[in-house]
Amino acid sequence: MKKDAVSVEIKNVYKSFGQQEVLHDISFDVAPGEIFVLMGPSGAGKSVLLKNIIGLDWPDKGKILVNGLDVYESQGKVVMGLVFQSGALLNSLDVFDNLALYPKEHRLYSDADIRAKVMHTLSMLSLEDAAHKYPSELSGGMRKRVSIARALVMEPQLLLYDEPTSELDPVMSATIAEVIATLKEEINVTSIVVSHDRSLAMAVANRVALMHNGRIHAIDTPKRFLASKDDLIRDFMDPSIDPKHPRFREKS
Amino acid sequence: MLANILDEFGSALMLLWRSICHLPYLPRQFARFFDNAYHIGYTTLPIVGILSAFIGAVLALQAGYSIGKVPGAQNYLGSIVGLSMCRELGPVMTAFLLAGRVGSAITAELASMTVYQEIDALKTMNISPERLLVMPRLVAIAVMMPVLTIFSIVIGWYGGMIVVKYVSFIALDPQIYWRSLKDFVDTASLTDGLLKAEVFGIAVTLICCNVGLRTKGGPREIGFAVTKGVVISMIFVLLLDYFVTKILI
Repeated sequence: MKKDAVSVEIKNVYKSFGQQEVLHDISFDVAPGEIFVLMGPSGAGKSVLLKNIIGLDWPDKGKILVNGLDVYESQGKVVMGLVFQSGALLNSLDVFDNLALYPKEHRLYSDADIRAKVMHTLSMLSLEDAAHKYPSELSGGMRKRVSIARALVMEPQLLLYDEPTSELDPVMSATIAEVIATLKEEINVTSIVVSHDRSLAMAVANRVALMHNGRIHAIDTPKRFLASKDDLIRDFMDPSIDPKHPRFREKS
Repeated sequence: MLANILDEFGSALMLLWRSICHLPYLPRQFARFFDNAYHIGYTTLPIVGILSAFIGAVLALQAGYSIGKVPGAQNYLGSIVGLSMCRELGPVMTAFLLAGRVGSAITAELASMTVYQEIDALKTMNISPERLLVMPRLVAIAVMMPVLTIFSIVIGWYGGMIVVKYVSFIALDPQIYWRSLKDFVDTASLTDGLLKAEVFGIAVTLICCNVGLRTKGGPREIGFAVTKGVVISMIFVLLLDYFVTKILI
């Protein structure tokens, strides 16, 4: 069943942890059904922003609106899923029960329907054989796919991905990229992807944003990003490796 | 320091309140309740039995030795062991054992789930951790704590009886022991002991759940959380013991 995709508006968001400012005046919009990729170096504030969008944390200042509703108000009205970087699967439950947890707890369907839905979602991600395995028995790539499957069972209108291809080999990264792109077509979901992975961003994004030091440095289409003359964008998209003049020494 | 204590205390009370609000969902969490009741209750019985038998035995031994010089005083050993186990040692030692064995496991599990973002995952699915993880444990402890305490008291009584019968410098007829015990241990003593046990059990579970769910950082903090949960639980059991006793007397 396709639900309507939702829009996301981030308006002048600030967030600090103690004295350290992590997000500084972040503003952008994501249109319904769009795949928006947030890129940037480690520590730029991407994952913190994702946590603020889904309501696991709150901005110090500014607003985050999902379909025009404040994140707090939207809970229960808009279904949002988050694919965690670590997978964050419940270790005490097997793969099937991890996926069945949401519909069971919210009593969305009968037991037979939940079973059918879970197995269908697992088959979408080629995970049927892993249904009765525990998370500790899965490889990193399988854990990521199970995490995506768990989010899909929720039939989300907004799907957030935190580094979906980190720690994966290139083939598995390509598979995950294909999954993200396919889902947009199949379930009409708005997606915000946080990633370092340039090839993932270029392959799936409608628009890409580059975050740096807690600020949005640039937002544009993947093509324009690749063609950009901006030093920071060029350095991030195509860092040159020069062992004779290592950049960590230059910086220090 | 004071702010931290108040913060923890307030957070534990909020956790209790949120868990109580989820009580109507208990029938849907019956499998989790049953699983917790089994682990908290059934698997703890052997260690409660061993501990209580020796506490009753040592109590009878010490009391028998101390009052042995007073003629006829040993006839009251049954009442000493009976009342001590019933009103004080049964509930307190069961609560201590619960803190060490079950409380530590609860804190470790919830702290690990917090550190590894499993709790965050539940929140993103709009599933309350209190409903899934705390409420079934609190109900399980509320059901199992009286069972464990009665078991502890009875085993303690039998431990005392074995000592008064077989230790040569006491050598009291078990019938005299049981008669003295029956004369002094009334229904009020038993209900007071069970009430204390119930309060201790809920406090230990609540504290350990709260500490586990508030863990921040990495794997190192899981170990710290377990120690913190057990230590705070034990201190709280002793504090509550004084105040509940004061109210009941």
